[in-house]
Amino acid sequence: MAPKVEVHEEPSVLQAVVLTECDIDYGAAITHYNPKVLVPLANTPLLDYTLAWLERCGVDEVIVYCRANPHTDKIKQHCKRFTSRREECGIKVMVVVSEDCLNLGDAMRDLYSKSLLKDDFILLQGDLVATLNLQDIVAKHKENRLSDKSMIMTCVYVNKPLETTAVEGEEGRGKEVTATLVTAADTGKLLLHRRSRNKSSKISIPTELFQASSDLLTYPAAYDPSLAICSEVVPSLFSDNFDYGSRDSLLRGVIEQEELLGYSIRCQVVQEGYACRASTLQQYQRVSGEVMRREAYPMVCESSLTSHRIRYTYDPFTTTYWEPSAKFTKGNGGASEAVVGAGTEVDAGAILTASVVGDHCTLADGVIANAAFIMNNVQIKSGCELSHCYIGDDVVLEKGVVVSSGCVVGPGVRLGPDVTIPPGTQLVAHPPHHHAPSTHPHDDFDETARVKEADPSICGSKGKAFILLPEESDQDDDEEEEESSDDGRSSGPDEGDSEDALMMMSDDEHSENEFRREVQESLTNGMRKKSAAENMVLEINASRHAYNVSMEDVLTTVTQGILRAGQTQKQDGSTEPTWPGINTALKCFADVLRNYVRKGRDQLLVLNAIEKLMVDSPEYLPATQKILFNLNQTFEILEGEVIIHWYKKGGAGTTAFTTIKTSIAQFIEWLEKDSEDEDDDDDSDDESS
Amino acid sequence: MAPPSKQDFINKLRLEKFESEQSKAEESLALLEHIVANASWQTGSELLTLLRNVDIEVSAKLPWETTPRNMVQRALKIVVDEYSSCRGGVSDMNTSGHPSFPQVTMVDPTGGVELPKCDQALPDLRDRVLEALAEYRAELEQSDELIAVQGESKIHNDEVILTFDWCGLVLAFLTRAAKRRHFHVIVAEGAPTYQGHRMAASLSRVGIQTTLIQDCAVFPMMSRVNKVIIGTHTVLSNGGIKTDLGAAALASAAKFYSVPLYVCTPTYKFSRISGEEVNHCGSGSAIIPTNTPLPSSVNVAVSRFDYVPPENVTSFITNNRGIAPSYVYRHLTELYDPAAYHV
Repeated sequence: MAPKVEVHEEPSVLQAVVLTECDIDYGAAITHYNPKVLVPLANTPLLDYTLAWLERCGVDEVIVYCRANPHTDKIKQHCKRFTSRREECGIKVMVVVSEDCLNLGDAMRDLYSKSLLKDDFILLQGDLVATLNLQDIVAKHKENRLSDKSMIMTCVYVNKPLETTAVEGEEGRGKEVTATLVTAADTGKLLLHRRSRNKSSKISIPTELFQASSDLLTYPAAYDPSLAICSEVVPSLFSDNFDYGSRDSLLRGVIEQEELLGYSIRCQVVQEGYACRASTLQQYQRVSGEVMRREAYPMVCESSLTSHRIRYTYDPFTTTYWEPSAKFTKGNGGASEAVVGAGTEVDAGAILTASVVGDHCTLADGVIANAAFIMNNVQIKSGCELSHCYIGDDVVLEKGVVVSSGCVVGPGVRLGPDVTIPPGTQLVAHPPHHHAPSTHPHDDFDETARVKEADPSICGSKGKAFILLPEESDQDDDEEEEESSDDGRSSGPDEGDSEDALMMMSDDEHSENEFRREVQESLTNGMRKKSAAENMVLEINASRHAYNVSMEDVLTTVTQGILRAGQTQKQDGSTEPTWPGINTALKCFADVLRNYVRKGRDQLLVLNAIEKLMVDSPEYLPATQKILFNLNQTFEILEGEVIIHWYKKGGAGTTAFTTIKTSIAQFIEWLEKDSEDEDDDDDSDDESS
Repeated sequence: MAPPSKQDFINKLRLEKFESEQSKAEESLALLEHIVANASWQTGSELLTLLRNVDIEVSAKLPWETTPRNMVQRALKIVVDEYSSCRGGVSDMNTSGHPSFPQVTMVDPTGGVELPKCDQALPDLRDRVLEALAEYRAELEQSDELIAVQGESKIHNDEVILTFDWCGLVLAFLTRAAKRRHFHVIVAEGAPTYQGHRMAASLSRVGIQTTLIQDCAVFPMMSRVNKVIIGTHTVLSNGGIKTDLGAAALASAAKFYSVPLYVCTPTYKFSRISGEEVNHCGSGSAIIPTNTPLPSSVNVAVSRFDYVPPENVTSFITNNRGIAPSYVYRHLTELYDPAAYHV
């Protein structure tokens, strides 16, 4: 048998899905001209880091997933260029374009319907720079999956020290990209996943987690590179549940409904290797610095990720990289951590720190650039000061321009002389469009007709720049607020979820009634046809999904439905439920009920459901004791202890309880005696052993 | 097995999938043989260009990988030799050796490299080159063995040998010597890869008395050492060696105490590159344990190779013979064609 299995495994290709529509982007001043994943980080497009890493890890096929927009062709061309270098032995890159993909869930649904995913695959975002050992992670995933079929996904987290997660001057960093995890220590099964929002030092862990396993491993703030190894079940799960928008909502869904779906998720917290997403501009700056400091080794600036040639000269003492054709003096004016592209001239009097300069730029004497990201063909004249900013292609900065931190200067902008750009400004070369903020750059022709003159007080006398319109910047602000207040990455979809939940609330009752009716029907039919228990469960679950009913309601409905099924069976003339009818119903559906009763709490729910049934239809009263006795003794669904506990606590506290109390007192008495006996037995056993 | 392709080979090199320099050498030779046998070429010059393309590609992408480049240089020499002897056989115009190739070629250091002109299409050149390459392969495959057998003659009883890091060749050398001799080996651990630990374990497994020390502790140990025997990554054209980090300090200590330092190396590690200019820089994560809170303002520089100048090397133990550092240049002209210089 063993060799056969190997034959089967051999042709399996390892696939990866790279999402280019990342949930957060860099703002319109950048992404209007260039898709986020093609923004160069240390003069290499972000997507290349992802692809190079996947290639290095032996991934055979990469699906680059993007939404149809003006940039799609750019991404396609880029991928083509990337693979054409590799001839036939490299990885295959396939670009999949979809018309209406808003989030990860949509992408998964689309890929599922196109059935492009064959086996386990790696799911990641296109802005990830990582050097984790993916082969080990995937191997472990497969191994876990062999031993536990219900495991559908492995989420990968990186354990980073908190110190490095908080970079100076960057507040919001930790929140959006970290998650609080509680896992079972022995298996690594994910029990709780929460986006850490507050900075409080306390974590609340639901007590029922302690019932399930004795050892819990808690990660208060694990860095989340949004990387997951998914089995083929995941896309189908997404397509079954249209309310799953992001990976977070999937996590929540699977963890909360573990009993129902029968799936579980594991997580691997990786200690070795580097992984960081350049999700926001702050993160971009951080990753850029880390790449320059060679933390993402072997992906280092001096070797091109596309051709693998050594393109830059590297000086380890100042951490500077420069193309041999660039005019750049090593150790330039105390330069440290700088990348200088081809044909760029950096005057000896210019000081660069933690900055990247693209190709064919000119930096004049006295330019001070600190954490500035300068793209191609940029001219910066003397006396300019740049800090923590992004300068697009073809920008001209006249003398004495000061660009403060957080600014984005879009391509083609001219500024100066002698202006100061306030922090956080986004500048573009063309007046922003009122109606369609993301139209083609070609539409500028229409724009020229009603072009506004650039305001010299903003961009200087020789300047040409427009601040991005208030509406849009408002939007950006909102987004930023969301990032900081909400749980960042998944803010959009999550909000959708909560809205959905609200909608659900309004017609909650309606759907609950519908559900009840449907379950009742299935049970009655099932009893008539003597259907197998698993088919019944399937039917009930289907109804449950259709009406989105909680687990507790399902149990209540099923319990009552079973008892009612006994009644209707005998109904033909009299509506009075008789014990024999109930008994046959119970016998028939004992397995169904057992399927839903997993924990002690569920047993209480069953008891409460019975009690509530008595409130509605007191004619069941005489049979109560027999029902409980059979559930306890014959079917062993309810434990004696639970019944006693429930009895002593006063049941669900409805009006019917007092009558029930009297009718089952005898049974309880017997139970108590029985359990005492058992206790005694246990004790004696203990003593003897 | 799939036929070797240049892309595959370079990918393997890039992803560091080779276990040793020996396997790099063997695989690059297999690739070159494949090119000679299967590529479409007519004249000697065309073949030379094809072969040199491998060299150029490796040097552009992985300049620190010298072994494959040496193999190419060696193959070029073989082709040129076969071509001239072939032509000598066909037309006896040039009877005096190979006068079509001036012994001293002027190489323009800035421009491209002139390959020797071998314009004639010779029908049996392919077979003869393949034959010569097969011969070379045989030589290559037994080079380790030829070095190891010299163990007994180089090591005497009750000597203290100092070695450094992991080197399969040195291990074989010492293991062979231990069959007849009784001696003590001190191993420097070779931070940050700590392959010396593996070396020490392997040595003690074959019954050699072994002591493991830190790299920086070589100096105090050196006074009692009789010989230093190390392996290398590359032998440079000036007679120096480029090898794992820590060797330079070790060699200086040996020089200070006048302890002879022997370098075990097969001849394919003799490279034409000169000096210490090619240094491959690694990542700080190699020396900083993960999760160390280190501020980003601390600049961490990690280099992979060390340079030992020729004056600190006593002798090379090769599969041919013992070679003194000052004699390396002569050996190079025997191994490689002077016109195939790649600057």
